[in-house]
Amino acid sequence: MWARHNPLHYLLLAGSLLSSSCRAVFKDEAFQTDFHVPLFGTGLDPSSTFFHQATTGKAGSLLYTLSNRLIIGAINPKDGSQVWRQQLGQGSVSETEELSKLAWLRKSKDGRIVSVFDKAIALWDAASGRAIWEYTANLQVADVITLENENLLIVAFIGGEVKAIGLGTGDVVWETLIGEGRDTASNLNLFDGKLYLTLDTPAIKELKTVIISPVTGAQLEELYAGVFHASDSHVPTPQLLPVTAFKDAEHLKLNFLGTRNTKSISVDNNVHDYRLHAISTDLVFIEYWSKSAETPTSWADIYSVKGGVLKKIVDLPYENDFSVFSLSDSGSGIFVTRANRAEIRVYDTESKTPIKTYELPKLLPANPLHVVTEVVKRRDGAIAVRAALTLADGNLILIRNDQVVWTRQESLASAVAAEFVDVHEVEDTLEKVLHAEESSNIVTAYVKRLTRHIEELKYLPGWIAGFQQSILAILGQPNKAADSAKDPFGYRKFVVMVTRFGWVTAIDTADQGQIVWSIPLLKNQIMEKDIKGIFHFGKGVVVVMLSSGDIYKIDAINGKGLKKTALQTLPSASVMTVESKKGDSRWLVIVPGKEGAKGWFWPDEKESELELALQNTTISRKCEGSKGICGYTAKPTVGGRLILSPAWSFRLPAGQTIVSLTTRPVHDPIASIGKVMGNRSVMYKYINPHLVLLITASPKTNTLYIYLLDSISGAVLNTSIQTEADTSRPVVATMSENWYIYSFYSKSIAKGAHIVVTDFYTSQARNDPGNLLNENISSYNQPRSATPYGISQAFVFPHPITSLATTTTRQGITTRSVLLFVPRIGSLLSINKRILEPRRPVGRDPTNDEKEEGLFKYEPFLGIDHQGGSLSHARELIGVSSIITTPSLLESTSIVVGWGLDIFGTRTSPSAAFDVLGSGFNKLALIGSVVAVGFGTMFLRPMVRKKQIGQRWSQ
Amino acid sequence: MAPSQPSWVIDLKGSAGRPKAPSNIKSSKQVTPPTQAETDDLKVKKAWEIALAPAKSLPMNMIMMYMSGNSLQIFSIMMTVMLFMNPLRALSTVGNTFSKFEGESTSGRLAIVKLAYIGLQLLTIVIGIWKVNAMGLLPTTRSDWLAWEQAPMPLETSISNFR
Repeated sequence: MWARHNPLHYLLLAGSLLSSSCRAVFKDEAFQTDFHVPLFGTGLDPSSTFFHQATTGKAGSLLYTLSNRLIIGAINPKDGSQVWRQQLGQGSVSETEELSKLAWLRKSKDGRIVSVFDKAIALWDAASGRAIWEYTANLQVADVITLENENLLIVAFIGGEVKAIGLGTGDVVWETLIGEGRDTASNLNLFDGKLYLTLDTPAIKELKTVIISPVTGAQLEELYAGVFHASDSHVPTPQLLPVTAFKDAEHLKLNFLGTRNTKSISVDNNVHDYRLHAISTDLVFIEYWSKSAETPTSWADIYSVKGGVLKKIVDLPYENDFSVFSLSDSGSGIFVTRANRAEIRVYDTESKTPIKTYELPKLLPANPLHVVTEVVKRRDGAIAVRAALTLADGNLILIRNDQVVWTRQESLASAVAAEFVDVHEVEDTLEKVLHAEESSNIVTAYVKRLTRHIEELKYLPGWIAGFQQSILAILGQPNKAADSAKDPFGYRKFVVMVTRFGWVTAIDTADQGQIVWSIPLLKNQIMEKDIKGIFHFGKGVVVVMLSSGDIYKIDAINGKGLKKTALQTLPSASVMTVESKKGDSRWLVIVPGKEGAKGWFWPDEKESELELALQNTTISRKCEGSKGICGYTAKPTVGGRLILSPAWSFRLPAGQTIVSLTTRPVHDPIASIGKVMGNRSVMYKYINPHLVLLITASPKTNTLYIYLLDSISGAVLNTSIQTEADTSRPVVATMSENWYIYSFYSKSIAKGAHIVVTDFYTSQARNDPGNLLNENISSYNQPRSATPYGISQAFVFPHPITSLATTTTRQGITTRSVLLFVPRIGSLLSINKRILEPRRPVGRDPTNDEKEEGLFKYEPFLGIDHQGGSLSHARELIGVSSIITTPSLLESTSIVVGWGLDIFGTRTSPSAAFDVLGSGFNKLALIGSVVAVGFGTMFLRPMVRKKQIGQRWSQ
Repeated sequence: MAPSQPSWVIDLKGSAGRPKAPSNIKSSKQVTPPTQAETDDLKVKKAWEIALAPAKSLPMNMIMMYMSGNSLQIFSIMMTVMLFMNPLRALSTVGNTFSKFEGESTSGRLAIVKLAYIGLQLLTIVIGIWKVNAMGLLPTTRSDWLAWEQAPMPLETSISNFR
């Protein structure tokens, strides 16, 4: 207990507050205990990934890529390290397959590259990744082309507008409008010093080609070439070709630019897709493949396009295999590279037999999606190839001849769900054994214990070895590998992630985020909507459920698929887990989206146990069409079905949509049920494990509505509103113990991001527990007097927040910290809940009692404590959309992992590391001094005794 | 050589036959041992002195306790402990303390003395308690019992997924 009325203690308290916030990360722990996997994402389109010389005239090129997460950047092809990266579009990645039509990356002159996303064009320095200029138009960009001689970047917009932007300055040199803005521009080609823009004219269904003077922008010629059907669609055509390509269901049509000369290539049926490559003006390379996963096929043709004649030169053989092609110009000729899971073949443009075949020592983990290559023909005729393959599992690998040089785990940037798995929970059987011993009689218990001890003897050599190692670790450098294997503090957790590419991957938080295992779900693509969730099934088992009804049971420790089943569920169903009240069985409970329908449970076993588990249980989820929240009670019946009966529903008023739904974390222990005031009275916390925080938005009135519900009874416990909110920006929330925090963007006078914190107490009066301490209090039995008393306070934060989370510790004694990701500064920040305290005195200094409680004066502006509040310290994170936390075995420490694009993991101690010695603690000095004192005593004792005896004799 | 005696020795030896001083003759009549009642009075008086001794140290104790502050420091803790230890020790040896005044006749009158002694010692303890309370060590407030209060397990369970 703090003594009263002693100013020194306030100083100390203030000091401790400051010092605790000053050490979010210790200097010697940064880069040691935390990890960051900087990612690009998976290469979006083969034309947006390329080798390019960063600096003209310098040998050696970098690998440039534009990813499905709209990250552009350069990778060092030697070791796969990141050279630089930039994010396009402020992180507004909409999950769409059409992204490749909106965004691309092109080479430009003078070691520069140009990026396009939607309406924005940017020129980047290829070596450093610095932006040279950016240009944002009102219209979507259709195509861009660099004119090297004129030093211009020509941009065609979708409506037919063409602008020339000076490469050096970023200023518009000329602009012109082709047509009346009703045509759809598709492709820009540069051929014979003239600029050709092809447009779709929907009115007359013809392909219009306009020839533009690159210098002035004047329209030189306009012609209509051939009749196209309404079903025809444009095929992206390489810009240096004198042709433009369109397709219908059965043909690929190549129109020679500026003429009515159109050649048709028949493509047999609709399971095929194709892609055009070109590297010189007179060769077009067409790659064909089958989309179907069951019968993959691929082949390719090379045509010459000289002088208005289309002539097939070579057709590379048809294969019942998934392979991808790439063209490359080595300076000594054009080479075609064909890559599949097993081998890389290099062809020249004259024959259908490969001039070189590199067999990979091991099959690649997945089929390639696309490949870019560099082929070099040495003087002695030897062929060397370097190929960057984007695989169907989302990862990027680089192969040099027949060796995989590096692999970048880019699939993790496309994670759609993540869940912690405790590595120790499988070993955690001792407790159960002890319980079993307790319940049996003395003799059998004794025998059991004896046999257990004898059995445990086999661990003795290992233990001795481990002990030796820990002794050695004291003397020398600590052995990291051994430490993480032993993991005495439970830092080692696996984060199991499901990626969009249909793979499940686990990373190790104690091992710098290294991949532990990775297995495919045999689904080509999983979008965020396709996954119902990843559920923790206890004992290191996770269950992944997809919208299709497929259920995968996976051993998360070794990555073995245990079971795969499929239920005939509806895609709109909600899935959750139920735990048995007796054993450790768990079930998935699937509530269909349609109301009034029967649900499912899986696995279809131990029905009576499930029935018991579902007694007094309310299941809640979003109502049909997200019009509110509905609660149900459930009863299992035969055939793995559930009879659902509606218990309550909370329907949203008209005009409101759900923007955020939050519940208390599954593991959220409350160590103290009250808060001690300065005068040592108690304000009792409002404790209710069934809280649901629902935030809805009404875009018309710019208002946010905040509802706190009880998910058992559906009762509304508290409501509040925020007017003048920007409902188009994300609203994020987190809830723990007896409080919730949400953040939104306000358009009021105090414009900017706001953080609002609300604490709930049983009553406004002190020492009044309400019915908190009463036995057998049901959520249904809550009189008016039992409504929680909420205290709220808002803070202004400098930057918008895109994700919020709360730390969690084993027993909940440690103060919680609120974790937030701020994309603008690329940091994961941590703010102690003691700062986000609504009881801080407003407009006056705290009284002595308040000081004693640790309250300090309220300041509306909550600045960023870069030094102490940043968990990611010097690291620059991109695109963390979700933060998950789990307790370690140490009460002081919570494990934090942020994912979404980059993966960042760390451990944090919100109340400082009070239960563990820092790495700076000198064990050697401690042991040394103990030993020295021991030795000293050993020597001195006989001497002293001798002296004493001598003294007695001499008396 | 026979040792010669000093003159005062000779005088002393020779004074046996001399008449006594008149004053001595008078007082010799009145030298009587004190009566039992007088001894008892005396004993009780003495006992009172001992019994009231703690009262004299009370103000000093109070001042010391006040001055030592309410912080938990080694000196204030030691002083507070002494404030309890001394009276307790004294209380355990009440019989011993007054045993020399104990007698068949005084036992009745000593009872009240002992009571006074015990009372004063208790008063010292009360000061100690006051001090301990001022230091915030007495569980007199609600917050002191908070750690033992547990919210009961809720009757219902809820499961939800709002994806």
